[in-house]
Amino acid sequence: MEDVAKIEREKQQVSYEYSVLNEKVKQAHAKEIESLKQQNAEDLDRQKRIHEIDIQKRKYKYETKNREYYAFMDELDDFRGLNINIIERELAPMIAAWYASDNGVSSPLFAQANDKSIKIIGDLRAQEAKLFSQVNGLKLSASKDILDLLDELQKTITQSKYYLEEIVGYVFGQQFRYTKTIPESIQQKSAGLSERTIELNQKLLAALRADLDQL
Amino acid sequence: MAGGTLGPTLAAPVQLDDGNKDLYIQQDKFGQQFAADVPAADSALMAATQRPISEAALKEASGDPAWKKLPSWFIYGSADKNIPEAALKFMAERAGSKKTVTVQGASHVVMTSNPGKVAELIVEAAQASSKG
Repeated sequence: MEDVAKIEREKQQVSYEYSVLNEKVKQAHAKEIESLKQQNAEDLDRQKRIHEIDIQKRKYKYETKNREYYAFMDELDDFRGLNINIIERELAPMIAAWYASDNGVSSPLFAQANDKSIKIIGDLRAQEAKLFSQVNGLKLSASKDILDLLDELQKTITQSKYYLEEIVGYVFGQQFRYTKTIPESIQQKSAGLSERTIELNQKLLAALRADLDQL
Repeated sequence: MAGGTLGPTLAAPVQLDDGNKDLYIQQDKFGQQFAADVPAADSALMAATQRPISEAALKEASGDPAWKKLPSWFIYGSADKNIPEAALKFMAERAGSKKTVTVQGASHVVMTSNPGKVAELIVEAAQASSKG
């Protein structure tokens, strides 16, 4: 009878110790789970912040490049506007009127034509300088494809500028004095350069768009 | 001393609203007179875009010239047809030019036909001046 009571006490003792131990283990697990939860929440928060910063950075880069590309295309359009049409439409009639008025000796009509040619050449060179400054800026962060197109564009712009300068010289020269027209060959060459600029403009536009999409 | 040949190449003066007159070089004479040592295409453009000189500028007194107080360096073309070589040489000597460069065969626009030589002299003058 005594042995049964002893066994019962020991059983109680073991059960109690087990419960205590179990409780301790449970508490330790709960703490660990809580710590893991907290750690997880912090990691998640950190990831969110990094992601948010990354999105902000990409957004800033996108907007900056977008503005830069837009301004460049705008300047390029302005340059394309300075073409043979201006000489044909605005300068050539002035010179023709001057020749008609006093056979090209000198008059206010000559002064007007001279003023116009100074303005055309001044605008052309200023626009080229603006464009080249932007091209150099774009080149700093451009991909190989864009760099190649920009190089090609720079060459075409320089050719166009030299060509327009030549045409201004031409309309003040002896041949134009008698024919009062710009020969077809000159117009075709000018149209060719203009088409090449448009073609490069379109290729560049596509490349710049692709570049923006990759950001 | 042979004189300049600018006069006969000028077009008839253009009368301005303020009473002044602007003087231009005739298109077909510009190259030979003003810029005989630059390529024809360039001199044609220079002729088309030439800036006129006011007739008054050729007649009014210059006032106290800067060369009396400031050190001077001089470069000119021996084939300048606007201002004869002898006159340019005289002006250089009168200004006490520290160095005078004569570019043989160069025209009035020596800075366009020989930009390297002009830039070199400017750099030399700037360096000498900055040493005090």
